[in-house]
Amino acid sequence: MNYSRRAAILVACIVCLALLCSPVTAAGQQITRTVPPNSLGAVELMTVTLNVPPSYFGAIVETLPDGFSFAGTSHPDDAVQQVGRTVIFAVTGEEVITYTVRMPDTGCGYLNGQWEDLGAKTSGTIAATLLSTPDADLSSCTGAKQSPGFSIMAALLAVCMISGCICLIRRRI
Amino acid sequence: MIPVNRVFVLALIISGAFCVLALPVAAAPDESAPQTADEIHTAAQEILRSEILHYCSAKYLRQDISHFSADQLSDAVENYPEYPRQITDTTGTTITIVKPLNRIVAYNFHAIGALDAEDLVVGVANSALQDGCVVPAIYDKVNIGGGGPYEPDFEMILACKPDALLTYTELGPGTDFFEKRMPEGVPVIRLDCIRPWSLVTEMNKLGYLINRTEQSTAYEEWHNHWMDEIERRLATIPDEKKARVFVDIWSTSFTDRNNERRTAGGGQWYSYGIYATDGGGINVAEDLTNPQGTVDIEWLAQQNPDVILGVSYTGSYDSDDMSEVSTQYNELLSHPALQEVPAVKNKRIYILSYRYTNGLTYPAARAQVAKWFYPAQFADIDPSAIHQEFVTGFLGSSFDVTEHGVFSYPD
Repeated sequence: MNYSRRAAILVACIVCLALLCSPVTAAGQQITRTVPPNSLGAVELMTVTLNVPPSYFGAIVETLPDGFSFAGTSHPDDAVQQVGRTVIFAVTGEEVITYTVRMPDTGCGYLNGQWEDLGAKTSGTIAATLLSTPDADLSSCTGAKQSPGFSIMAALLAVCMISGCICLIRRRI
Repeated sequence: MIPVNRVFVLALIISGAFCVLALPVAAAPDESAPQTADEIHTAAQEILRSEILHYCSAKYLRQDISHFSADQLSDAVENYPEYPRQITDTTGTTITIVKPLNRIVAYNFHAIGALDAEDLVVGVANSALQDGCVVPAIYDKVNIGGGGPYEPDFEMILACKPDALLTYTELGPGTDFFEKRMPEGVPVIRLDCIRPWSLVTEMNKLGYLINRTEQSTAYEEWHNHWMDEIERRLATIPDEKKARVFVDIWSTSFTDRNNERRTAGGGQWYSYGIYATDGGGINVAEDLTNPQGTVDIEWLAQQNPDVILGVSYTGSYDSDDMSEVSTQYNELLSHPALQEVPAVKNKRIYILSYRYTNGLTYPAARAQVAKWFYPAQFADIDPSAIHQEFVTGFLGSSFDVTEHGVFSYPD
């Protein structure tokens, strides 16, 4: 096999690997949610922090688990809408959003989030975060939506393409 | 001799124009539009946040709420923080734009020249062409037809591929013609810029919307400077010295002018009455509620007005024919039933062209009226000079208002 052919196959492999390793989109992956560690003990209110990449314009939609309720936010009033356990944050360049969640006496559940980058017209999910009271039975926790990561179709395509490349190289050798 | 059909058309135009000012249009909301960069950016943030919430409420909460499309939001983000921009037009309709307007069809061209925005306009009404002598850029625009009783050519409007249409609240086609037929996403903006009480508000809104706030702010300063000066001088006139004024609305279509006149009572014709009261006068017909504003000539004689202020839907920049306004003057001056009226005996009859009063030149027209009513208090004020300030400063024209045009009579 000549070098140019090998080089082409190599490039194809690199592209496929990049596909495997790449996130759904940059903006969504960069939005992170943090909560204080459970070791703090029983608390009535928990502060949730969303870190948003610079120049992000869009929305973050947070859905609280059953039994937990939205208690307030540092985000401007005109940029927040809450209906039930769903809270929508309109983001116009802010890089940190904090909000508080009222905890139940006992219980646990997953805090789910979605993001919508309106400039890039892309959307995705934020990794689910487990919220629990100290005495909660974690085995009963439900409600985690799929975390972001590989696009299934992209991953399958990449695996197929790499397998094909390997077979091709072996046959040529 | 004027052909009969032209007389009919003229009568229709005049009737339409009178109706426009006569209809009790709600006063424009008096909220101000953002003018400075900071105000514009702050407003853009508020609007964008609101639109994001609407969009997400519909998408994630399944709420039935009107909202921007994803494309509109993407455009808004791309142009942030200069856009989005939002106003409430004079009909109360919320107009939101997400990117600069560059292809406006200006059925109402009144304010475009003063905002130095001719380059943003692709089409104008046929009736705007008469202002070509002061705003020559009009001649380069697509003539969409229309004006007076005529409808514009809608296909011609579409051919302009407009990103917005600017028109009046009442004058010209209504919602069936414009709003219901314009392509989606092309706003119909209804701002008049012809009524004295809403000039500044509407100019500021339009200036903000088409990104000409420097010009709209300059207009506000000029307007308020002269209005405040006139107000200050009129405040020195004691009530007992105020001129009693009959407003004579020139009409060829409604009235037997030998026996009746049309005036501006406290009812339907209030918007013409403002010319008398803004000039510091007392409108003798203020208490009349006759919707047509028609009064018997004897009634007029009995009021003994000090001044008769004629309002005429004639005159323009592109005419030098004073007979358009002097006819009304002469008719009143020679009317047999009015010979004992102080206004006639003292030759205190004055005629205003609608082109002077119904538009951005109103401060000059108001100064003219105040000077007619109170010559001593306004001896050092030259209304023509104020008018020229507008033409030169805002329209950038060398047109000499003392040499050309028909705006008032006899001065």
